[in-house]
Amino acid sequence: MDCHLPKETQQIDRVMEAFAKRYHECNPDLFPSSDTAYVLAFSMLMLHTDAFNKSVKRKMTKEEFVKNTKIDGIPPEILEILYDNITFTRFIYADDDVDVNGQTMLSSSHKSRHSIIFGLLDRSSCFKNDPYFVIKHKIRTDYTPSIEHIVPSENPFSYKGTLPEFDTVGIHRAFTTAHTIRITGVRTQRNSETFNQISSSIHPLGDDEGSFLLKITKAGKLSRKVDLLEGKKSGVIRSWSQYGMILSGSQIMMFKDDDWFNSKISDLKDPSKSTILPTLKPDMILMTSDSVALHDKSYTKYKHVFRLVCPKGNQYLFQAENEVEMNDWITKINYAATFKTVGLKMRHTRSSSLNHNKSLSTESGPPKRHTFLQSFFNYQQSCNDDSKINDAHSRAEVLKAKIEELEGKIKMLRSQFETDIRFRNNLIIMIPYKAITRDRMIQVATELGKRIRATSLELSRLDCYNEILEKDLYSTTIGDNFYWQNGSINSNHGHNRLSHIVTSRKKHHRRSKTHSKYYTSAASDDDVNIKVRPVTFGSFHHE
Amino acid sequence: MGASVSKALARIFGNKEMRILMLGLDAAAILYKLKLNQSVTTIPTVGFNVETVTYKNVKFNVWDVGGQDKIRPLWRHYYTGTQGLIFVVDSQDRDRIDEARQELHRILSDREMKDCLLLVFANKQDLPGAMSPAEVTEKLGLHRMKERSWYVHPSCATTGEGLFEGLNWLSQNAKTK
Repeated sequence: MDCHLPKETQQIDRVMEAFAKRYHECNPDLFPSSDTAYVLAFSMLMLHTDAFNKSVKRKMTKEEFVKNTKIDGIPPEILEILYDNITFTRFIYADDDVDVNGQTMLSSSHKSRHSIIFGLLDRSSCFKNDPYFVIKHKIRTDYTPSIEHIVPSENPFSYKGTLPEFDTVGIHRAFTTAHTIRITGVRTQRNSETFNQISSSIHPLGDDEGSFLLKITKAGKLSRKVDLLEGKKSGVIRSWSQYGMILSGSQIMMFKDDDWFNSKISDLKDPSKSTILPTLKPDMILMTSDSVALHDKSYTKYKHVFRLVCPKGNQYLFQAENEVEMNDWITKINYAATFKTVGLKMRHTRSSSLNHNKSLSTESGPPKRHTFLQSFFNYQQSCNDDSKINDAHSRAEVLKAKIEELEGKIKMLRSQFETDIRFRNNLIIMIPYKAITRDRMIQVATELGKRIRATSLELSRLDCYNEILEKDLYSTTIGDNFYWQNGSINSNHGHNRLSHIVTSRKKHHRRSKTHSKYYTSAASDDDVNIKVRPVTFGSFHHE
Repeated sequence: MGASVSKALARIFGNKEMRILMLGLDAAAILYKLKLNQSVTTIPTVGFNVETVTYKNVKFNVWDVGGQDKIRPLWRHYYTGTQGLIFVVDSQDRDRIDEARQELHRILSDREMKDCLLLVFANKQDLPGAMSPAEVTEKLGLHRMKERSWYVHPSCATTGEGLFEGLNWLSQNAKTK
């Protein structure tokens, strides 16, 4: 079949449009729409005309081409590479026997009867870097960089660690039943790695000001390495060192003093032990607010390592003893971070620990003094059913607003992410014919890789908050006794939870009464109408 | 001797070169017709028509532009330094003359096209019921263009009638480079 590109602009226009439509169908991951492919194809043909038609005296420069060809969905860097390639050699028809100089152009073995536009054979260069040869045999040139390795294609981060599901109910219980210790104050010692960053979060408390309660959700030892300092600079000290760690609702404390931490760690975890401690002296405090802990699939150097990303750009790697511990740290940090970030208290639960908290927290000094430590015991104290329903309503409202806000941000980031992935896909199919083009491609890919990684981090952080809040909204409005399993909620949740089933069943009557009350009022008031979205929440089964 | 005389004359009168954009249906046909009188020496480049036509010592460098709205911004690069726009109108197509008017005004409204001459070929004059040049002038709203030099000439791309008269007008009105 012979088909040549027509000569008339209007006809070329139609051919380009049809070509682009089909090209976009075959390569849906390159352009936002077939229109983008159409305008790009047209502009490439224009550039080719400009570069090789002898009637065009003043040729377009690369800068002019990039400026002239502003197309939504095509990064300027891609245009630069295309410029290099289009102007490298002229298009020919593969069945043209003779080039403009009247010489035999292609040896008969490479001649194709298909009238596809091919690049002219450049006799001076190596066969392997000849565009015609490269296209025909679908090979890479010596110059083709490995973009796939420079730019990741997927988000390597998981805020669930290596777990398939985020068990918010279990973690919530860990926080509400956390052992409370009484301390007289917190003083941070020097902070060599982070300089003055931490000083803002230090709240030295004088001994005379009374004692404070600290809820220890998790305590244990981790290896730590400073990966990035504030402002995303590389850490100076690149070695790993052991730290004793305490996670509470609003911060992570790190203790370098092994002996002290070792001697206290069992006490800290054991509710029966005496829990009055003098002033704590952590080496470092990181606030959980705006932070996220992530498992990084692309990090393979050591096992059981997670990354803690802090709001000012500082990042730490922590190594846990095993996968279970790693996942536990990740999910607990993320749960705490979510509520601190959105400025919402964790919801109260009808567990025995609530009363325990209540009795302790009432002793905790004047309520006006809102120090960061006091945020640990900000659980609701009134327990009568009516006020609970009202609490649930207003809490649901706040949650919904926060979720909406997060979803807006996530949508924007995701669109940015998709744009960058298309950028990556475009880069991958580029075949450079000159060393300078390859160098530019590597430079562009490196920058793109960094940006995609940063977007992935931020997306993971917001996705994390979003999922936890959505589940919290569900628990706030429906109740806790349904478990999240593989995207669906089951009240029938396996043998290991048997003891809990028994206890939750005991409470079931009381709870279902609350449910019906809640729904009655919700139905009469549009503002608090909670929609259970089937896509997000899946189905759930009653026993 | 004869060659040196023509060289001397060229020096006196100047070999003008004009960059011209040609827009409209059948623009390419007109370009070919103009080109027919010249010798074709090169294998045409894959891509759009860009031809150099020499007429009465003036070299016309003509680009056949066009296409749908989406690709119009791409042509902007060539607006700069363009001295003339040749707009080809299908004189028989009364239904689309309004569309043609909008298209013409859109391209002329570009800042880079502010000083360029406008030559309109009222094409397909050989067909029955074709609009007269006066009618085309009126339909295109050219009378309202006070600042611009414009000229409407009847033409027939198939026979080549009227084409060189149009070029003549362009060469006479172009500012010498």
